[in-house]
Amino acid sequence: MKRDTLWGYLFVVPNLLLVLTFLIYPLLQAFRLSLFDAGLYSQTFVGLENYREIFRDDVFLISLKNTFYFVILIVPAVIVTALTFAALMQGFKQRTKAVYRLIFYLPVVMTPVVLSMIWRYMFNPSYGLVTYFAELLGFGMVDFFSSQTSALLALSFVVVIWMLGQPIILFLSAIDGVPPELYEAAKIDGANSLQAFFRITLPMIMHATLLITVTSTISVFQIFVVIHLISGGGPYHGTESLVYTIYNTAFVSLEFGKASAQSVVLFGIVAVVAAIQFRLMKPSMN
Amino acid sequence: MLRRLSVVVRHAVLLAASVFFVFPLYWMFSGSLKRPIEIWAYPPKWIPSTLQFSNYTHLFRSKPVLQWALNSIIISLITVGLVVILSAAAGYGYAKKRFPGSRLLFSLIVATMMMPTQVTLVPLYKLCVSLGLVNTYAGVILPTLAYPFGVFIVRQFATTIPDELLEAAKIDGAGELRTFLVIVIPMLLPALGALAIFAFMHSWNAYLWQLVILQSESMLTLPVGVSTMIYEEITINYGMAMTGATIAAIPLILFFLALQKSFIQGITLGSIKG
Repeated sequence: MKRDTLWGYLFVVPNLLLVLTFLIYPLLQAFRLSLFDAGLYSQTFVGLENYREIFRDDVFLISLKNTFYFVILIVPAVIVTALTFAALMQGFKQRTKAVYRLIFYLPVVMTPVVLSMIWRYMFNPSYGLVTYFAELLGFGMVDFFSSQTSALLALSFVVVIWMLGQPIILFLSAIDGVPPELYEAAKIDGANSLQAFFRITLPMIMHATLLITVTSTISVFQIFVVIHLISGGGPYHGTESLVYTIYNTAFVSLEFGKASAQSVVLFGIVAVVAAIQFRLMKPSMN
Repeated sequence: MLRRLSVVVRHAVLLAASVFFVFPLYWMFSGSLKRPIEIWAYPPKWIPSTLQFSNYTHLFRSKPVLQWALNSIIISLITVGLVVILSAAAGYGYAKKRFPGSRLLFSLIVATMMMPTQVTLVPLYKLCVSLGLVNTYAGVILPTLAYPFGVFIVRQFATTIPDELLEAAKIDGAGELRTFLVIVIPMLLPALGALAIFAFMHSWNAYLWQLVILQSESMLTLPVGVSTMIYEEITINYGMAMTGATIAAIPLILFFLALQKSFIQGITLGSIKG
């Protein structure tokens, strides 16, 4: 009994020390720093001043709004598209499915950095490929990044392409897990394939859908690379995301206290979403 | 007949969508072969007129690309090795050892798994400044070693190891460490393989933290180094940028094609089956 205890600690302690040093301690520090006017070496206590400031700061408010826009635009698009693609593949041979899976997972493998670089090139207003097609379709030579709305839409599109790979794989395996007898029974009852999808498939994969919704929501809250490399936050801060603003406040303006307050806000929002995910995962943890 | 038709339509839809996923890859590679005059061409040139690699020679001469690749490889190999060992030990500990606080500590790990690491960006940077880790490999690697997802995935897998097996080893006189290395590790291999792939992707792609902690050009990793050709330039030379992007993309694409099966298994294993 005692020996088991000792060895238990020995096994978990190396990892635990790293978690405490590089995750928990900095998290607590973020809360503390948010109450200070802090640079790299100096800090003075200012109470809640940073919070008062950031909620009066237009750039932060825009980035907060944008982050919600991104969630509203991207998450439903990802869920619906991934689900549609997976459903379209239902009944295909495993090998055919594997080929499509590979294709849709390709952007994930290409890494966000590479993907962002390519799309920036394609969105170039004077010789980009997207611009060319926009002109062909009669929109004229549009600069997607000259207005906030079109820039947000363009960025969301890139993120959707980049995020789809994993949900498609998960939906495919969830759909594979639905017992085939259910479909046979439905067929006998005269249901067509659309009815079968809405009455059988969809309810059977509800849990997977919820989980994918929550995990994609959390990753959309963390968008950075796409903005950093495609729009640079512009036009006029119009596409900044929370993480992009945190990065700028900390490492361009060197206002560590303010950046920490912004981080705490991000933490608060994600904590709410994560609480929901934790609920969903609980049954499979024991 | 109708069924046949619907299969054709389904393929048509999926193939049309595939264009958005595959074509950028071609556009990147063909861009890397284009001279500036062809890059600026409008309407765009679909195929570069001559097969020439001057962007590549130029890039290798003007930027320390090989050094960046080496940095990326060193950093991700060390990270993957250590993450796998640390997670295997901790995951096994939480799954099979009874000690006070084990449930609480494991819940803590699961909770941190969902925390966006960007929240800790500023304090972590300050911590690394005070530890003298700025612009070092250790500065990149150490914070990423606390990879709660790894512990989680191993722990889930380790609970399925039968207790009788561990008891039998004990009766045979095997010590704790020997049991762990000779019996537990081999049984965890599928989970550890999936974990290794995730940890590799995670480390190879970790952008924001590397952007902050690495400061001299020669210390940058491949993705960060290559991306400087976009965000540090006033006029971007896309021929060069696409060359950099191609070089950065190739290792991971090859890695994925080689280990495709394990990737897919890992993704389904990593998500929690419902």
